[in-house]
Amino acid sequence: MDQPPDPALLVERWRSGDETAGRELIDVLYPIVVRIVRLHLPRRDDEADLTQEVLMKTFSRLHQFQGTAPLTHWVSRIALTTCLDRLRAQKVRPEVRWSDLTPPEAELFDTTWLEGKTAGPEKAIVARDLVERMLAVLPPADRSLILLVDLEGFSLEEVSQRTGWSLSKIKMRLFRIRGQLRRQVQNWGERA
Amino acid sequence: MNTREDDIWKSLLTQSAPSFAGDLTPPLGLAARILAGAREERVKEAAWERIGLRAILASLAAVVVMTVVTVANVHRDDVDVPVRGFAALEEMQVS
Repeated sequence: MDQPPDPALLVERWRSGDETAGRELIDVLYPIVVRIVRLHLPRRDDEADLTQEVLMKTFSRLHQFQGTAPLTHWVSRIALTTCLDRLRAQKVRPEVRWSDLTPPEAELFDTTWLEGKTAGPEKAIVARDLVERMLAVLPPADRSLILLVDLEGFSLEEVSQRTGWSLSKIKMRLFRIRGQLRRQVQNWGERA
Repeated sequence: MNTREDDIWKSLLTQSAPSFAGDLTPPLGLAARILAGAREERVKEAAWERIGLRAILASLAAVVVMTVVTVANVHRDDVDVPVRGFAALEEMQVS
């Protein structure tokens, strides 16, 4: 089986003018970038545009890459900050009411809340829309933080490395975010 | 401590997880667009570097010219000193 190419070597080759290395680098970085963009951008925003923007930024800054951290971490940071910049323009909603939910979202919430059941992958998009609604009450950085921890399963140290935030700041934010999410679920649950 | 609300949040997140899975291969044309953009940027950077280098060389040349002119003037002033000295002598009133 072919070994995946070493990204650091690809960067070296790209810097020395090897176009093929550039293509290989895009193949390596694309899944990482698109995953981050999908994770941090609300579903209805233009994912393809932002992915391209992140990769463009990466290539234009590639000469600054020192190699002190793994390339994937470096690129993840560019992707994350680009997503947060984009999200900053969006308004944070004070609350999402039960009446804001679509019937499939309300049904999925009821099934989870009342019956404790988990829907199959066919309901993944509805579940995601519901998650997006819950996240809509959070500022962009908080939204990203909770997804990095709860969905990606990163440790607080890893989040700190990827975002540049201090551990105490992360802990404090997580505490506040969990409180907000709890209140949101409680409001919907008490109605249900 | 996990509350029921925390469990519901986690459950909804787990159910949504498949929708977050990204594509593994870039769409057709993306690599070409990015590489073309990077090439264009390199060309621009090289052009700016050339302009910068020329500006530095021009400044350096100006400094050299200024230095030569100044040194030449200083030497001329040195030659003028005795002449000015004679002129001053003529104007001097001897009591």
